[in-house]
Amino acid sequence: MASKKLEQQTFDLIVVGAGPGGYVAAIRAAQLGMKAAIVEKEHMGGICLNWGCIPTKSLLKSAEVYQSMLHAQDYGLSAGEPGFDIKKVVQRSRDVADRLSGGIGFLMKKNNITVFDGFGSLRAAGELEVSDDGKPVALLNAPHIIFATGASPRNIPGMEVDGKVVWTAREAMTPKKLPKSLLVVGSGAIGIEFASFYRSFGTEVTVIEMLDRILPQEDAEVSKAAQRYFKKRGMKFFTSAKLDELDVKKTKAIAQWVDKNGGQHSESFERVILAVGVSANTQGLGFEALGVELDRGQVVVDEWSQTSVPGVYAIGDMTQPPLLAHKASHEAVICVEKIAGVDGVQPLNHLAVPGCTYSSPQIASVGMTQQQAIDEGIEVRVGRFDLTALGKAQAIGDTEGFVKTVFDANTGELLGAHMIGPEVTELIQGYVIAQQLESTEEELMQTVFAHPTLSEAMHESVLDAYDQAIHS
Amino acid sequence: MSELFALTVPKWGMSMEEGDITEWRVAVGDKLAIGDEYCDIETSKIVNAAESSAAGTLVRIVGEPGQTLAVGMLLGVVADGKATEKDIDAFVAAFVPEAGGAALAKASVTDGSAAAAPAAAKPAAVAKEVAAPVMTSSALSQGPDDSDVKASVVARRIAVANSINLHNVTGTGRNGRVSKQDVEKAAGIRVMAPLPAGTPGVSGAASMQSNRSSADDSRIAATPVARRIAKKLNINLNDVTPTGTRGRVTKGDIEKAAVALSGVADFREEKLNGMRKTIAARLSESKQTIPHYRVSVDIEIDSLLSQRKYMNDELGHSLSVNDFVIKASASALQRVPEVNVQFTGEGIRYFDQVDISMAVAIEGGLITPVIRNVGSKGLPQIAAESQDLAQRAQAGSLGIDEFSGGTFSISNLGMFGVDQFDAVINLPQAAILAVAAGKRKPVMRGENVVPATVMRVSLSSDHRAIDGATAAKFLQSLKGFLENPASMLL
Repeated sequence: MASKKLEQQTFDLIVVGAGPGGYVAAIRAAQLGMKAAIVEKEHMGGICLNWGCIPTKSLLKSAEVYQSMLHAQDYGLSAGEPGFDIKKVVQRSRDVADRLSGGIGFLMKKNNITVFDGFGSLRAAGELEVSDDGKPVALLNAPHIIFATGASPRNIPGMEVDGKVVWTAREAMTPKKLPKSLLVVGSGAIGIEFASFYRSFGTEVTVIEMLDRILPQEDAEVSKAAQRYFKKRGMKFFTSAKLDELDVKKTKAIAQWVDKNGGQHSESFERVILAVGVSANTQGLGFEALGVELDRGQVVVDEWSQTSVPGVYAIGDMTQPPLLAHKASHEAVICVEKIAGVDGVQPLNHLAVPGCTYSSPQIASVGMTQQQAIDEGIEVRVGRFDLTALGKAQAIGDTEGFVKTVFDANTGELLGAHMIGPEVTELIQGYVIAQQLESTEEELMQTVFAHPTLSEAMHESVLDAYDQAIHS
Repeated sequence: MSELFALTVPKWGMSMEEGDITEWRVAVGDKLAIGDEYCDIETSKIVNAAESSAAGTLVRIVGEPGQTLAVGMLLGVVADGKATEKDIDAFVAAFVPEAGGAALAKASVTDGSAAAAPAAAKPAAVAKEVAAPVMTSSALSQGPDDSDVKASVVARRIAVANSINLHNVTGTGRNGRVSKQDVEKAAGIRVMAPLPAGTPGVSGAASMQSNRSSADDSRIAATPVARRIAKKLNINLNDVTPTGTRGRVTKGDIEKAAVALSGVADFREEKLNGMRKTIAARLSESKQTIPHYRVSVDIEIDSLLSQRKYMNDELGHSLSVNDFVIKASASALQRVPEVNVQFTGEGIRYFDQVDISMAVAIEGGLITPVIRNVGSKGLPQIAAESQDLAQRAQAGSLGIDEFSGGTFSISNLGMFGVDQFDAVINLPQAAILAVAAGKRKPVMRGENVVPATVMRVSLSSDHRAIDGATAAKFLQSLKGFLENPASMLL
């Protein structure tokens, strides 16, 4: 009886998940003349827009402005006693997220994309069931179905997230009041951004990292400098440390860990953020029955995002790293264009995907670290330029940081760039473009950089790699 | 005070100039008697054991396995009593190859082929370096005027720059020509190829390869990294298939092209052993200097097969088809002696006796043991000798005299079922017979098609000594003998 009522529709292409991977895939498909549908169980825009990239950047902007207010006298300014209302700070971030989420809904309408609210799962290749609260609401058919269902925070066994004392990112970005003390477990981009945010408002922040340095995906020199700057801001770090136990009480948690020298620590924290990575959302999508191949939880795909089952595709965080919104969006376009048979589609170069951390100071990088290049057996030339020697950095009173560039000594290819300092997340794109165009040091040296800008540090770093830096 | 004796690289035959040390059979401290085999040495022909010329205790090994040493060079030191390390060092340092070795080496030099001149090694200058096979620069520089030695222009330039007399360099190039690598090897130096000039259009390696473009590629769209790598690898962008945006050549395209243009993807390179060097030099010389031509004929061997069956089954022999071919070739050469010849440049040598070289495939190459005076031997003796020679060829235990000489060669690939093939003449001979498999085929007999076992043979001849009609006559005679085996009894 129920199946008779089931809405049954046919499309050229269906996308499951409306995050930065999914909605971009749907729009590109519509642009290419396909009849497209998108299935989303919660919010248009996904985690990125609602519970990730965007609201955290809003929070971090508030923190940055507050810090500027605290340092007003450094710039010859005076203001009343700086203060903040954490509820209003959070509210601002929610407003920004809601506004953008609504914007995605508008884009779907504009591109004639049919939106289904619910959970999509494969019944067969080319056949997707949409359910709401476990009840089937629609049956959709399409020769191409793209999954972009993202990933969820990973749990540490035995350390339950209660949402009150122990948080994941979602709770961490909607605090009702500011904790006095905070333990951040994991020092990837997410952990460090929250550590930086809470520290800015005065919380005592401790970071525990299992590996031997914070921000382990970054170049070792950047990790080292970042830890030094954060320590100066009053954060505590334990690297090569192992969290043994988290005893969660009503208003606090007592953490026990072993530091790198084997020393035992036991400390009480008002709040704990678990930021130890994410795992792909593949449950309930019907992958198992259809035989969609997974590798350690991630969907196995080829360079065009095709899974092991023809007509089933996967993009974004549910596939291989880097797990970044812009990587998902880019894969979306490549995947859809390949399906549509567009000429000259190029597969994604995973090494040319930039990564940004919006802490204070900011961190940005693209390509290989110096060590990765050496491990590949490449003879490298490395350039460094410190922001203290830069006019613009002095002018804005923000001289913490440097720019490091790694070149292939034989071909002059820019293998990687690593930056820490003010606005480097905006600057990195210069290097990303250079890399995409396969520039050598010559083109970068011959490029004119405006004065005075922070970008001049990028020029000087390249010059330094070839012993031609002017200001160092 | 004990007496020290030198163990040196022996000379096994006139063509031996150097040997690869394969393995020591004794260790330092072992006792040696005169005639004891102490070290295996591989020459271009065989692996053989060097026999000790002295009695005593082995006190020093100078020639290590893997090294290639010239005839007469020091292999090791034997003491007939106690010897201090100092004594041995002094002996090694003062070692001068025997006059015999020097004379032989000299003889090689005068006959035009390159050879080391170990006599020139001055003991004072050598000291420790003697242990290594590389000769000192002073030794390498000595020798008669080398302007007549065949060498590449680059090899000669490097030799001049390094004061190397080309007589002291073993040439492995075409016709024994000394190559750049030969000079580098002899002198123990490595001369890098000069980097290509920075101007576009100059591409040394590319222009050497005829299938590569040398056209101006400065207008081909390419990424800067791609252009840089292409220049480094001497790849002309005209030879690269672009896959980048708007038809641009990318780094990846160059990398793919580099693999494709080199003509080799993954490979391993094995150093040529003595045998392969000889095969390469001799057959190249043969193919390049002898005006080869080939004449073929089909031979029906049903009668031969039935007679062979009777001989083997009833008379207890073990004769192969090839034994019949050897015997029939000898019979045919006796009837047409104009094929049993050699071209010398000044004249043509006619041989009275038929000595047949038979090509035997062995591991890593081939060798041609000789059955002497085949004309006077019966099939059972030919069969016994060919079997014995083939077995010992496989074992690497042939004596030099057993694979030298020969007036005519036979190469038989019948066991691989080939329909026909041509062989390259085995210098300094003037003809070689290539024997294919005997196969059941329909043949015309009068107006009827009948089945027969047909074996195709092809004679490669040196046209300077043997004309076409002579070769045809030989094949006609050979066909007659093989199709009527009893006629070989006449």
